Amino acid sequence: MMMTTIRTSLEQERIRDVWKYRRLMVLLAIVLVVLAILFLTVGKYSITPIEALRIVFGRVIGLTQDWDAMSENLVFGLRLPRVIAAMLVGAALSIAGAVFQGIFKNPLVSPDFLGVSAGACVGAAVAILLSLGPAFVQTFAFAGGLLAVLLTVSIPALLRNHSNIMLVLSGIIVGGVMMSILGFLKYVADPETQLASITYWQMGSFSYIRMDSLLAVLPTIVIPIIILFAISWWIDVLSLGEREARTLGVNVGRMRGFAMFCATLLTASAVCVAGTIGWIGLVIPHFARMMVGPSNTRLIPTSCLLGAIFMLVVDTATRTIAPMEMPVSILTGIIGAPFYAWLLYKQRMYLN
Amino acid sequence: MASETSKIIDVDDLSFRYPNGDRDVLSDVSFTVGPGEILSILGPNGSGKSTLLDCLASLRRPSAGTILVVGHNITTMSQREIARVIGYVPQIHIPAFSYRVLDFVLMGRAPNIGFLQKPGDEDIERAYNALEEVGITHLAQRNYLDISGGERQQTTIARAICQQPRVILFDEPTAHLDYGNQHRILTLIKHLSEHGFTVVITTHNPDHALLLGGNTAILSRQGTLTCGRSDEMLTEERLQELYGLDLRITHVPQAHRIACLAPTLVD
Repeated sequence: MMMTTIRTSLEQERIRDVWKYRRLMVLLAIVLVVLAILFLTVGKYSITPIEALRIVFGRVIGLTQDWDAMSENLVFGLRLPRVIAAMLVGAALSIAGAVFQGIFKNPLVSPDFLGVSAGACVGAAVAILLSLGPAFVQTFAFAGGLLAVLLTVSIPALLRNHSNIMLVLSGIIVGGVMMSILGFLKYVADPETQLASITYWQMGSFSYIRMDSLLAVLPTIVIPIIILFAISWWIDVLSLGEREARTLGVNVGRMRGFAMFCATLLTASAVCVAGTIGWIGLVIPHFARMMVGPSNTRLIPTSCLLGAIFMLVVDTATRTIAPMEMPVSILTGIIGAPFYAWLLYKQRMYLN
Repeated sequence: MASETSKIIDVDDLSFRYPNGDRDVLSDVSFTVGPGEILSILGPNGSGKSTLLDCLASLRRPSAGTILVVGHNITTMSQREIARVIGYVPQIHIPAFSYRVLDFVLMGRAPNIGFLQKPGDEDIERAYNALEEVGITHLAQRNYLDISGGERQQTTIARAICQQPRVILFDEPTAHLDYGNQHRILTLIKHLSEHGFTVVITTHNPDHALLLGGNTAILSRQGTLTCGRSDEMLTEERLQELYGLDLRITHVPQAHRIACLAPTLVD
């Protein structure tokens, strides 16, 4: 009898906890939507939230057009793609960070440690040097990112050493080589025009986002996110380590490779949309873990929403705070690094 | 085949050598374990106890010989198929993330959960049952890093129960535990074997093998294995040779059992 009552009360506690989590998810989703609409109205040319809503949904619900073409152009051509891109990139980098941290049992891993960002920078720089258009810059960046990861995972395979530390070291090697190549490319770039674009791209920006280029990367962001939501529980099992996961019946090589592939696609897509953006993939999963605990079934959705909110706020700040637009990485670093220090302070008892 | 399937584990002429090793860690090891039996594996440091357990869990591939698990050759089985028959309780270690005890135990359901699925209500029910069997239901909502070493070991055992295999392998389950917790874990292992689980355990303490009863296998420094009933295997001569100590096996009336006692510390 005693036993059953303990169990019932614990089960009630668990269910209360589940509802607490669901309420948090709804709250974060509401915050995200409200901010997204609000930020459509912010900028040098301001419009009211109602007007923004009417413009966005006007066509869908068949309103007669009583706003000027310039507002419509501004909302559809510039701000809406930008707001969507910021949310997607924030979500992608945060989820990728959470997944990599889980797979590698290491809360200090960030989504670009396999060399994705460095490889993407090289790809983008090559396209800029060849004076190719923005679409090519994006494609080259994506290809460069994937190529770098391919190199990173093939070094341990060649050395027949599949330990995690080997992969991390391999990522450092490939990242180092890529940064040197990037340095060389910057050295030979035309300092008047090309060098500035490379540097600007490297520091991350959403200012070149257009709807068509956004649509091009939409599948490689949305599909991996859906898959990672679906396999989130298995990332918990993987985080126990290779041996334990195997004794629980997991084909570790296949499952880990699959999750890594999805997380790499997310990172590469994010980088090719907005350049390299630091800190967010490291900080947001930590923050999410503090809110909902380490279980990936909750951590991944929470990181997704928090990352989208954070990136949206930061991007809006970069285009409104100063008269000249700032690269995103400057703000993510200024906000992210001290925030990370604060998180470490809060979690200090769990780190040794 | 019929005679083989009556054994849960049937190891035949198993040898193991590390890729760059110059000698066999395990050499022509043969033994069988029947349903509900307990097998304690004793051996000096470096004799290959953990390696043998790793081979049984398919974490390592033997250099030679065969392992049959319920009549099937282990090399032809998938990791998932093996996990449905063999559970594994590793030595206590600190995981990178502090999962809830209930969530940790739920991971034992992995061999029965589909690729795109998550554990459901039935799985949670089974996890609670496993916690109850170990007697740690009250820990369900606690964090893994906030509980004691003994409780962590109990939690890992609950996970193995939740997995519902036929055999549970224990790798030095009493290592790093205080005296009371060592005894409690052994009691739990005995209880599991009485409830139908087959148990294979490695230990450094011959007294633990005596307490558990069942069968004992002794691994020598050369990697050979002798196996038999615990009371017949654990003789003074064997243990003296194994550990190089003047050990005594004697009945201790106050404890109502046969115990293994070490000599005084004078040389």
